[in-house]
Amino acid sequence: MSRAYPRIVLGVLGIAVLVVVATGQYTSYVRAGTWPALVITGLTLVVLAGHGALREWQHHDAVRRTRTFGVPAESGHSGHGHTGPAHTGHAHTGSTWVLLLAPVACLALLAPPSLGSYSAARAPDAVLAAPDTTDIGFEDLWEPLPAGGVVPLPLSEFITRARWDDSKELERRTVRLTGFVLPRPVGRAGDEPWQLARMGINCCAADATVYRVRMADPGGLTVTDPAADSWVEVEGRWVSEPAAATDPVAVAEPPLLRIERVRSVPVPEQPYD
Amino acid sequence: MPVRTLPEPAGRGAGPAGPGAADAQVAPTRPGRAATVLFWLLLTVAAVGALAGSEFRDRLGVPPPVRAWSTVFVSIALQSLPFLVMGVALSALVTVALPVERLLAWLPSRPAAAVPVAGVAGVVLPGCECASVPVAAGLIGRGVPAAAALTFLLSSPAINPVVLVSTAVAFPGRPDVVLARFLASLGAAVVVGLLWARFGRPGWLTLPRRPATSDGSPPGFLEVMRHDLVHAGGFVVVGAMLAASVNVLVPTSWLLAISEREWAGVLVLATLAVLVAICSEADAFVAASFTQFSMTAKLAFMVVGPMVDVKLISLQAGTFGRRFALRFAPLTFVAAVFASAVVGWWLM
Repeated sequence: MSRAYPRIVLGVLGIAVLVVVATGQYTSYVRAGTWPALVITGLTLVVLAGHGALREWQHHDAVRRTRTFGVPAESGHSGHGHTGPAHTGHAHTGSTWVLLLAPVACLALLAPPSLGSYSAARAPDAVLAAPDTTDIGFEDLWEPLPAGGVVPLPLSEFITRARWDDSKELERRTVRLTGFVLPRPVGRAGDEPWQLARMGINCCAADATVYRVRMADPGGLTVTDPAADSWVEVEGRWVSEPAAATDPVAVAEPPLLRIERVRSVPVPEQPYD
Repeated sequence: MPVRTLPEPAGRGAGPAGPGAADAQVAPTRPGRAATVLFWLLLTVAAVGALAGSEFRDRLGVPPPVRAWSTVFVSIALQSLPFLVMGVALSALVTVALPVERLLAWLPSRPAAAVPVAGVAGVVLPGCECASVPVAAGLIGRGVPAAAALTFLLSSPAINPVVLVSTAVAFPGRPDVVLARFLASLGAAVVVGLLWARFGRPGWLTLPRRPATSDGSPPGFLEVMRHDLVHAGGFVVVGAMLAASVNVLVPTSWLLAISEREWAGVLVLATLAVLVAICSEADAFVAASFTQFSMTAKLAFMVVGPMVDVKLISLQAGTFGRRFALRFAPLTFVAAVFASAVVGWWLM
């Protein structure tokens, strides 16, 4: 039985990978676009486990027949039953393969959520480089904001436009941003009660950077600050501030949004920007 | 069936003996008691967690640092797994199907010429470092000189097209960064390869053993794949645990405070690259976020990361033995930092 352990581990891991893709939970860990690679990986693991079990069964079947019909097998028969093709491989690996179950146990027990305010307070700010505007104007790079009422924007685009769009179109439009609540940084003035944050990832959550927008609440809309890590949808208008830095890649103070409406929303399907 | 005695990697509870003496001698395949306990423990936890549902999870009241750790740990594991499987599949292909005789005929016989050729050949493997280790092991297993295969191992995660394109995207308008990364990575890989060819001893590197079949027939593609995956998978998990711990316990802001001196910045980011074990396809974006550091320091981060990091050291120790990793990782680190410094000050 114990020789089957490595196969069970591969099979369980493969099923776990397929489950996190099927439930959409994988978007809390890696980029949404990686699902085909994950499906292939999960299926490969399941096939490897199944194939191993099949070979083991065939082998034992052959050994049993040999014994039943009394046909002498090749010399060294006594040890033969334990040297089948399916299980000689891991003889020298120690047993580190058992640890392949650790991510599965972690997933099943904790269902780790997407990174929240704990990580946002520690991660570096995402670098949003200035678009190359030497030859063409900024307007040529950015589509004008869509016509109509409130404009939904990803935090990354809002921050980039606030920083670099010389036409200051954002000042004239109400935008809708979705993110989680990052409590007030220490030492911040009372009229900036909290920040709206969203993490951005390039490959997986280990390389996460944070997008932040400061919330200005002169109207006292959020009498008590919303709880840290709760997801909210904020409508409001950008407040233009004098530019601090001219370095095209320097990280500046997060832009400021005067909030007009706040409502809580469920965690989006793709929690990263 | 000849049994080679191999050092136990990482000293995890390896089963010393099965029930019979013949069994133990021929195929000591059974997991030790600690591993068996861990196996059932993890499987039980997984089953309980899967059945209990989210209300139980909420009641657990996991503190935020532990939650962040578990997210990063699962992320690194989930992100490396497809690359590991791809590397293992390629390695199995090398073992089962590649006409190595032709490959060897094409590779120059002198190490001084074979090593640079192997380094440049790293361009063809579009993956990250998890894929390159099993592939290199497969090449060595088929008789490719170790120095050449190790050069390939170092260069391929750093100079393949996917990584170079992501570097160009992370540093817009800075093609010199892409060129510098290519040159420094290739340079470091070739230097390590040449040093290994000149000073390396065969005893330092434990050849990964191929699965043998009882009837002497060559092992099939799937057998080799399963063998390599079982062999290497646990070490990737160990690396993911270490990297997640660093990610949660060491806030980057601490390190950023040490960025004032040029040479210190290079060493700080090179060390950080070892500790955080970010995939080579994403590390350029992280490097770009270290705005306080010099370009040379960021270059060191991108050159060291794909060649030496905790996940990779763990994987190398598991594949080639601890004696190998103890020599290879420090050598590579020094070569990578040196190459970054030279190329950085020359180009940027």
